Amino acid sequence: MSKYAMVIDMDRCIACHACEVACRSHYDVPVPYYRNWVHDLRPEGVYPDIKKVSYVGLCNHCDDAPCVKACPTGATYKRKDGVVVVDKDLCIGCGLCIEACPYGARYIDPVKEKVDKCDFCIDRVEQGVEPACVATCIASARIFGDIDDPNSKVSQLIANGAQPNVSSKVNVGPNIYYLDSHNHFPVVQAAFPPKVPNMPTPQKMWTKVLRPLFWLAIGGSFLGQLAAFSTQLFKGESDIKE
Amino acid sequence: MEKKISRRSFLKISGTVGTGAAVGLSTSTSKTKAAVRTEPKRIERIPSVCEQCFWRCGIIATVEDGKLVNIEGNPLHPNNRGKICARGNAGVALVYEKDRLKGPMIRVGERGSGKWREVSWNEALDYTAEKLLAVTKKYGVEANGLFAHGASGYFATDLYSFLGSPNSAAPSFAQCKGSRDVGYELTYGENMGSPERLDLANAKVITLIGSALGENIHTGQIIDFTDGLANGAKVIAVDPRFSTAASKAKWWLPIKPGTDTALVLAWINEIINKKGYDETFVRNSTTGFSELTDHVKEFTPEWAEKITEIPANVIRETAKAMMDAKPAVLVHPGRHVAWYGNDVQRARAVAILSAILGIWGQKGGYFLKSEFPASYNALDIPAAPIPKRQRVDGAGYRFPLASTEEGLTQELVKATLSQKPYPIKSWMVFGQNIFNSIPAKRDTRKAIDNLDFYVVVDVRPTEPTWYADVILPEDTYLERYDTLMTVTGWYKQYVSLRQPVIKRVHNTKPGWWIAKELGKRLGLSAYYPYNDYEDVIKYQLKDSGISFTKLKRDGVITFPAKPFLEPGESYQFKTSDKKVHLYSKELKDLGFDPIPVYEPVNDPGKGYFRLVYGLMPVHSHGKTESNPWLNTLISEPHLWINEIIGKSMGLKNDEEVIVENQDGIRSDKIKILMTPGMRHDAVFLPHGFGGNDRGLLDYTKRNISDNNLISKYTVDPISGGTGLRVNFVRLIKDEQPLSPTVEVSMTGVSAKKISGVKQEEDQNKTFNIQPKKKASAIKEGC
Repeated sequence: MSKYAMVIDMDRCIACHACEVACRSHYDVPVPYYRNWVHDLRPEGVYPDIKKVSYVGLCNHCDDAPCVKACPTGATYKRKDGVVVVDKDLCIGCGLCIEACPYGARYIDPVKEKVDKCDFCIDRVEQGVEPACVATCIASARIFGDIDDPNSKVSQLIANGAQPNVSSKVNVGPNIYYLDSHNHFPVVQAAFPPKVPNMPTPQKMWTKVLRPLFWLAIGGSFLGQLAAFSTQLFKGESDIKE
Repeated sequence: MEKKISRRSFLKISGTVGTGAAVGLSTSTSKTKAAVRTEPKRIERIPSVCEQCFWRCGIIATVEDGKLVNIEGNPLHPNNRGKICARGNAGVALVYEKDRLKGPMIRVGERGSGKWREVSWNEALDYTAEKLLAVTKKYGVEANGLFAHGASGYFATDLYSFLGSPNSAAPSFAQCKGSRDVGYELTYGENMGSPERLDLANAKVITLIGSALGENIHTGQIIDFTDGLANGAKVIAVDPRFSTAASKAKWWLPIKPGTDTALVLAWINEIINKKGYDETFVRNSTTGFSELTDHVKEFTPEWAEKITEIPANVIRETAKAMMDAKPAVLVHPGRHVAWYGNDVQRARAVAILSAILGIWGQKGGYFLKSEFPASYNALDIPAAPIPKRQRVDGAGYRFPLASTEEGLTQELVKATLSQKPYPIKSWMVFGQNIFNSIPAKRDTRKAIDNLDFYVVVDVRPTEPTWYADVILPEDTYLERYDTLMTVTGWYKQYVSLRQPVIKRVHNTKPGWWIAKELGKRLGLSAYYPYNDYEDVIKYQLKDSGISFTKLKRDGVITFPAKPFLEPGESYQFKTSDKKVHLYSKELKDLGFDPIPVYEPVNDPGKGYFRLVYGLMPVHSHGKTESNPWLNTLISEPHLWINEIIGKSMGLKNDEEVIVENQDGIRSDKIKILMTPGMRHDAVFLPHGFGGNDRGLLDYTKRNISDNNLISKYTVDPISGGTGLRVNFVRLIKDEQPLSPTVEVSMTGVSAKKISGVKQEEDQNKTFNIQPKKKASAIKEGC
């Protein structure tokens, strides 16, 4: 079985933002939202030890993904190959997963009213094609692959010291790793530490999930929704099996 | 188990697997995608060539039922090798940009009133031709001036030469690489071309002098640069700003702006003194080495330290790195070199440095140009007439080595302003933002008042469009054919084809068609024996052995190249005596220094900073600011200022200031970015952002253009290239000019207080000023 991961080679990245735009193009991500990002930090330090650092980020496809736990409908789930995906038909746009995500990797599409995020371009990957951000990366700073394969490039880079963005407070098993030989990664970790997951409370479940559903029921289609919901739920489950 | 694949993803994947103009049909099977369609969609994948900048990467466009949905790199293209930058990816958004020029228009109100009426192409072209003929009749054909840029700009340049006017100019020379090309031609007999012939991937040392490599995303160069870094190349980045290149460098040399020639002369001195040059190459392939040796004798690293503020030991250490790595030392010739108005001599110094290191035709050095194995048929058209009057810009006479193909934009503006040596009464501006590229934009604006007629051809409106009498909207590069693009100075040779990937979205026309239709109306039908430019390309290729069908399908056809010299092989340089001219008799005869001399620059003066500018990786010059996908990444520039200096003026990051230059010209409010990665005596403002557009565009709300503040410029007497880094600015907050209360030395040497200024007690502590420590200038550990 594969387990997909990505390594960002900070030594090679020149912060050109091509990955961001390629992703926007491939998934029609509406401005100003994004599925992946490059956050440029101000050059800092004391001469001559100055660092110009950019934080290249995307969904970390965490092993212990808080978003999966937070999702009340099962729309967000983790595939067996490690990729965390959102089933748009099950998503009710409640946004609980957004609050749970430590990396700010999710947004609600304002038109579709569904949550969206990086899915490692799994449709492409299943066709043997690299994710769009990797394919366009001019600096070859993004390396995608299978960490269950010890001979894969990602496995080797992780063995060579690529590290995930975790802290003493938050470690939910992220699968994005950062390779860095110039002490740039600590700058990213200091500026963008993983956020403690903000998990759903009964109060939030009521305001964001149950109350909207209640109004739907008033609208007269609750039963229909429930039937469709259940069917799709099962379909959704079976789809992830390889 | 059935594999799920969405329709949209399918179409984007298919061509990555195999490139080409594949057509496929697919229906949506994925329930994770919103639109489930009943009818299959027609999906086409068409290769073409990007024009979000001038680098011309190979692309593949995915078109779904006639709508452009995605662009990616063409893996067959030897320059960009399947990759494209942010701007290239954002070509999709350019096509559907709401602010595009959508149909021809003729002005109805006063010039600059912003009132036009929509007209047919026939009416617009008839009217334009009528006006150009009226100017010709009254003042002579030479009174018609042209500013052209971009791949389709060639059609306009041709039109004006057929017409018999010598007065066309492009900013690519005087505001960009002209002085570099002249400096290299004087030295080597040929220039570095575009794309520059640089073997960055195999270099052991990469020397960048003011190069924005990494922020000017020239895709092939970035691929090679980052491969070079991964291969262990050590970078020497000479820049007053901690650029992206500097962030990858072993040595960042925060040089005093304007003193680069002194640094290069000291490097040459050190390399000659230490016998670190390539003796065989110097002996066999150069002339003037003894004159050079004598000339640089006094230009020691200690001499240069006082001028450049780079410590002598750093100059020695970096010289040694180059000597040890030669010939795999990539001394980058630069690209935008229009800095101080003595730029030919600096380019000469760089060319001489690269010559004595013997990097010509060597791995890790400069590629050779190859012999292209095919030749194209020439169209059977009359020769262009020889203009009856000399060009007004002085190219070829007042500026003896200026290009008479590209001309001098600023001199054409000056001549229009003064109406001397003879009247210039019409302008065509073709694909160029003349307010954002040519310095002293107030002169450019005033010159328009002297015109009887002013026509703009462009894809999207820019500030100068506002004053146009006629607007002729051009197709985007994704909707048109352009000339064949042939490159011979690369590790592979190639010819690539720009072709329409979609049907035009608006009532626009390709540049070739606009030129042809105007030509016909100007009595130049003999020059346009075709109706469709595709037929021209087919005819050009007919006997070349290159298949048009294959070129159309693959987007590019490659040929082997010979980028390197064989061991022991000597090169016949294209100079008079086939040798590299370390000493230039040509310059001596023209009355210029035969070997470069450092010319001192002025200091900004108290409270002022030298204004330097540069590119951002997500924008191209002034042409992408309105692209929503790029604007969301960087929507406005930040003014970079040294952190210690900024704090001493009481500033905070992201605070807004007004920038005022030595002539009292002001910007609107600009946010500041304080960083130790900026020299104390200069500020940096990214190029390509808003001007004074009045209601034309939604996105330009503020006047934050660097070119607005470049009201003063110098002109290189050899090339006619402009010096744009000669403006000094101060910062204004609450209507009060700010003045630093500390002095800083970038190389960590000293930071002394200015006498007579009230100081805070704990200033040293607050500003973390470094102790006196000379060796600290070397950036270790990278």
